[in-house]
Amino acid sequence: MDRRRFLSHSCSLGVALPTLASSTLALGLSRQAAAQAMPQDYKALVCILLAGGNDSYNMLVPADSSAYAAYAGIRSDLALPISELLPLAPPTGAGQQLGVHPGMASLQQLVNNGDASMIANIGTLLEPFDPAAVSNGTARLPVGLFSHADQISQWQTAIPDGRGSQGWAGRIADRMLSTNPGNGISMNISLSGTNTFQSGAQTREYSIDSNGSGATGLNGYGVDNGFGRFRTDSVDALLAISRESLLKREYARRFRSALDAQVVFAEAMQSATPLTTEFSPNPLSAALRQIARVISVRDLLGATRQTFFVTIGGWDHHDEVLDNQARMLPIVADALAQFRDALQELAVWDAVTTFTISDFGRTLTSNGRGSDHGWGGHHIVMGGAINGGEIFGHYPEISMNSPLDVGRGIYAPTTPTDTYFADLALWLGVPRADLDQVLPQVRRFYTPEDGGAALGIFPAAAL
Amino acid sequence: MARRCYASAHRESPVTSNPSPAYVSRISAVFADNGRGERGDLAAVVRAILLDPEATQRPTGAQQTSGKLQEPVVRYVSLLRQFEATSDDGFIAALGFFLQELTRQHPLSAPSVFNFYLPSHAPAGDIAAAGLVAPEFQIADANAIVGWPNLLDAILFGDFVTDAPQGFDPVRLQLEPYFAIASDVDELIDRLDTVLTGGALDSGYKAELRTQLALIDQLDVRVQIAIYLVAISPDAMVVR
Repeated sequence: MDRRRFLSHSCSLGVALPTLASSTLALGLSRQAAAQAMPQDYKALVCILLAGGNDSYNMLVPADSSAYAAYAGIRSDLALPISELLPLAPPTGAGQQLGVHPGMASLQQLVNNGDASMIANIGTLLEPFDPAAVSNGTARLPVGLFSHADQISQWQTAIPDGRGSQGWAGRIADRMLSTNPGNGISMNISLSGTNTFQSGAQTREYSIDSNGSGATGLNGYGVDNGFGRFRTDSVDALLAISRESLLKREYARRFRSALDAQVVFAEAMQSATPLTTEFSPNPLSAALRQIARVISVRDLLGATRQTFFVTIGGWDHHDEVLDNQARMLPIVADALAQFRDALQELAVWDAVTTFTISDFGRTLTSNGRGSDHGWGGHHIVMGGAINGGEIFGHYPEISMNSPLDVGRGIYAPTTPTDTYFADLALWLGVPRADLDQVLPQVRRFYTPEDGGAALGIFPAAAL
Repeated sequence: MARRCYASAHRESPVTSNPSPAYVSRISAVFADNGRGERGDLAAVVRAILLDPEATQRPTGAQQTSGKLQEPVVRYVSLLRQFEATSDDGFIAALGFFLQELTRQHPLSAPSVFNFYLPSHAPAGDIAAAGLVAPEFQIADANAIVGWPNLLDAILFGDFVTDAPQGFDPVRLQLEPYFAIASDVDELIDRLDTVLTGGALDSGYKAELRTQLALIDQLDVRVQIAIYLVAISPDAMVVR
């Protein structure tokens, strides 16, 4: 082993070339073939977390003149001009006309085309909102109601009266272990690292990034030359030594698992379908593009059910709401439209449902160019399987004396996150009898055995 | 109440992710009274945290719950200090681009005001089941955990120690003291064990290292590989 050969492989910050991958991949597929109760079709959920609390009252806005006047009155300097709103064709169930932020032409197109729908005034709840109970102090409210850490967690754990570390996608994956490929790649794939949403008792996320195959390889590992064999042998031998310390075991386990998974994943991604859809150069579009590529190799991964998670931060607009959203909301809208195009290219449009979550909405009132932590907010759901072009939930009648207002224009949600998640979980294939194991408090709002949909996102027959 | 909160907030800072309740109590007692009747002596508290027997003694017992995963920025800086990083102009300058790219951490790149990880993070599996936390694992995902060894590769074999911006001289490590003892594999391993893990290197790991390093004749390459293999060991990554 001489220095020159070592240096010729040095300074390589890229991905190791997997040459031992094929046999590992084949092993994974053969184990997969033996798994029981596998669904024959494919479905995936894509969760986009807008971290910080998106001011969604400027994303989805009343568009008819009298409702708009109330909105403009309460929002004062934050109000978007009515002439700039992009109208949504469908009215709400109550006949209200709504529009979206001027920078979200792509979202307008998605909704009006029936590819996406909006969810109005949704948030964490322990019981249906009762203004009298709030006034007299008997209402049961989610823990840490206006706290980022608690709320962002509760949208992922679906447990608003506790501080949990496992999310509902983790619980789904725990239950779908028999449908997981035996090659060690989790059905929960994250573009944003470790997250609560995809953590279960046995399940962890598999983290990839938006570059190349998404999975970083250890330099030299698996490479079939002197340097590579030495690297592979030494690392394998060192990771095989067992440890007593829990933390050391966890590190060794993760390192081992990352090495094994990368070999399989990078090999599979070499066959990713080249997409003609063009994605914008920003992290959200790049992440959705990578997700589309992963979906295109689902058969090689042996996956029939997957969840994907991506976080976009920076929404905590206590200041400069208008300027910030003008920059950031178009990115979200365009990324969703590009993702729609890619999924249609791959002929999986009906199989993938994308949905947004966020800590909370924000105060309707202004603090002077910004808004503060709120509660109920509005969200987007998109996919070929949904009832598209609709507004689910109830868009509030904005007024100075609204019974929903718990102070400073913070409107309590009228739709709990549980019914949103219930529809998504049932569509993905969670049996009705198991739904409350995935969403522990769902029975406060919905009885799975009644059949039918919780929020109505999907046609009842699809659940 | 206040002193227990303070002690609890400090817990994952220098020593271990899961200090025992007794450890926390001892520290909060020092906060209340530093031994001279004074309350709130932070210097005394820090001293107590670092010198407490739980911090200085090797853990025993079948299932060890002590220690903490060192975070990438601390690992990187420790490495530079340990091997006496130096440059002609006397500055150790780094943009930190590769540190960020490969390990997902950089002093200025916290994704939110909640920093890189939450103090309550408990990795699913054995650690969470035991009721423990290990916050630094929140950023040790599949890519980051491989990114660190790759960064080590670049530092040790690639003559890249920092990405120094224009106007600053390149930084290099001073490995000569290790080249000098590299012909004695055991002495090399023992020295690296001391400086990189505080003597915690697993004996089985040491034996394996001895076998692997003996295959390498060129002493400077042997040192570089030895540092790599010790630095990525669980005993170096999880510190007491």
